Amino acid sequence: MSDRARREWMTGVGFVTPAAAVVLLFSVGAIAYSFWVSLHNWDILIPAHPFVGLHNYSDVLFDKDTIFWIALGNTFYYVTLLVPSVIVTAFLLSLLAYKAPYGQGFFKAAFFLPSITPVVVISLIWMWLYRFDGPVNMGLGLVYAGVSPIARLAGLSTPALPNWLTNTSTAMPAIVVMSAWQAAGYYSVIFLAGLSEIPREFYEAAHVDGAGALKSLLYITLPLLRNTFIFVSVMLVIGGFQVFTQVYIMTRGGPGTSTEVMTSAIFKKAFQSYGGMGTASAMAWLLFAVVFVFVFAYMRIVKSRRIYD
Amino acid sequence: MGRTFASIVKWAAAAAVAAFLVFGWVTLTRGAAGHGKVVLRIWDWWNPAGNAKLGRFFDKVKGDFEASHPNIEIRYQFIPLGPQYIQKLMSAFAAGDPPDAFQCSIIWATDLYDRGVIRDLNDFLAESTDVRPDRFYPLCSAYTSRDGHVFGIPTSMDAYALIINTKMAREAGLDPSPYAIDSWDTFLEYAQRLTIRDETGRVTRAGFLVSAVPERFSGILPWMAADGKAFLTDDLRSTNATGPAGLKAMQFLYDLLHKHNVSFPPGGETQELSLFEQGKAAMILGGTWNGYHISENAPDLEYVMTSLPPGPDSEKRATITWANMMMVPKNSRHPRETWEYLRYYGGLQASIDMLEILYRNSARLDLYDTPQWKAQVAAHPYLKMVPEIAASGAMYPYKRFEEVNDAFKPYYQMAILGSMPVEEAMKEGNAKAERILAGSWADELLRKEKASEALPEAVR
Repeated sequence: MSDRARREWMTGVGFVTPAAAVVLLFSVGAIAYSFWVSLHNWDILIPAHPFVGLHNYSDVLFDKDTIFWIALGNTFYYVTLLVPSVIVTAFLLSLLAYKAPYGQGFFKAAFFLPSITPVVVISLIWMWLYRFDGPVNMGLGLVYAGVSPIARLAGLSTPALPNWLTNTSTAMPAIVVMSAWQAAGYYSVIFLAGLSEIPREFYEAAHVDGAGALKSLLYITLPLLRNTFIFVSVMLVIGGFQVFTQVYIMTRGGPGTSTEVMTSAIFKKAFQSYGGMGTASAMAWLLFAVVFVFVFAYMRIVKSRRIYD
Repeated sequence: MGRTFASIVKWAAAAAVAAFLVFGWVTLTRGAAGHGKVVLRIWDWWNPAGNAKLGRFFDKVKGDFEASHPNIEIRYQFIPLGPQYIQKLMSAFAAGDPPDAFQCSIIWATDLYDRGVIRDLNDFLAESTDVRPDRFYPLCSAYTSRDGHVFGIPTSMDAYALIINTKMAREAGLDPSPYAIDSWDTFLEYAQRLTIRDETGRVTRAGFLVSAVPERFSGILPWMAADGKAFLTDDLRSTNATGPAGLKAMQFLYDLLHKHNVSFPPGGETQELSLFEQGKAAMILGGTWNGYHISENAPDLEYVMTSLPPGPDSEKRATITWANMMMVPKNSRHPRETWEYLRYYGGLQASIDMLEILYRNSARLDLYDTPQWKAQVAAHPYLKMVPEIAASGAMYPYKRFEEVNDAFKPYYQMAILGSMPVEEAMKEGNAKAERILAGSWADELLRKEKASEALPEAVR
């Protein structure tokens, strides 16, 4: 290695070292440490940490009081509702903004605004919206008032107004609606970037060949946004599995256990249960395994590739 | 050019790191020295952000204390109440850098003490009489001590209370005096007569708001107490949820909501208070501390606070009472100065300040004989009942509360919402709570350590 090359190498190492040290210490180190913790009974206030091997993992998976399976099921439910909701909404928003003759910048900013607002603030606002006497039910009440004469004629009664966050059936969908509203703007900007990458010539050629708007959408826009869809869906799945703040603020996992998700269960086990840090770490590793397998399998199925070279 | 730029960046980065380190060192050492004064770091969840009166209260306490102790400087750090408070506290303990003193809820106090991170205050108490346990409500000792070892100095005295809009009661032809509701049947009659519904039968004004607070299962506790039972058994190893008191209380709440239709759908604690303040609910289960909020938000509201009427198996009114406390970590850097602060904060003058600024009652018995108390009762009539409510209380289920709450609350909520039959829900919730109360590996370890400490050194 020449002196110049060595100097350049040293300079490169010098630049990388601080960031690498931080990542190693606070990410890799912390992750490895959490695995170590998961193999022990661990109370952060007690110096002794008896080694228990995989006992915490078996507890999480098989103990009769375990919340793991309920939380995992709820998390899957959340992800299953969230991913298509956000993708459809974000894609439609991006199409609207893309086709808008004026004010694209305004639409982009308006769509993006919720994603830069803290989730805590948004959660509090939506809690108010969802109150039994809140704006959502006021709007629904007006709809009911409009349709109730017709319903009465048909011999039907209008259902009671739901109490969104204290009903086991509606609490999770209510959280999903809020999360989708918040996330859609961000992902619409990503879709917009994908749309702007599609050459205009494709549409012009299709138009000359007699393709309408629907065919252009089906045969040009959607295929050429394939990689964007894959990216968005993977990011949403990963983010969905990590949902915490809105659940913590809006329902604390209730009513019952209807909105208890993996992260909230891990948090409770770690910080609201004395001696539960080992079990919580085991739950976190199991969550990691689930997300890893899920995303890995998904990526194998929908491989990223170039369309219409 | 490129090399020059890289060199500049490297030096700039090095300078920034050095400046950061120097700044950190200066800040830390300044915090410790405090211009020659001892700096005490005090944590509390009574957060003055957005509440000017709390700010005034803490300014007054700090000002008065520092004036009488010129060698000490108080620095408050406010952390919202909830799991984040104990999480931050435990992290601070684990890092070996806890505050010098902190307000501690009864739901964490004994568990922290059992873990050996809290200072025993007996030696200090032997020197001074002004904050001895007998200066406070007798119930406080159960929360602030263990086997004769005192680990906390009580601050405010809190209790769940039935809060009744007296104007609405009068308008409905009901007696609004605090003892008029003398049984659960009378309570039901009041709730029914105070409820207003529209033509479709929908409740537009709740006679009573049934509680299903998202954070806790506390809605059932005072009703059980009113029927003669605390939630936890006396040995703290089981619950009374599946006993007659638990089942009757749960069924009563369920019936109020579903059978008698006197309530809006259950919401959060804050929601209930705001509905009461807005006049949308005639009665709520609140707390003695709510008087402050009502005075702030709805000063013209006419209301009374009272304990809960006796249940079918009881003859006396009751509720749940507790006193949160100030505690000192075992490795507090300035225990002597911290104790001076605790003496002041738990003393009569701070109690009077709390009363005059926040309209809150303290756990000190001598407060109720002061002219300031009488003046405040005249200004805020709801205070008149507060000493009696506080004295009528059963114990809060403080033992491993967070875990028991996580285990029991889902069943409480499912029972109250009708997703699960009451008896089955109580049985399931009780079974889970019992397994927690039976103790964990950590409790076993601590027991062994304690037994080992009792042995002579040579044997150990």
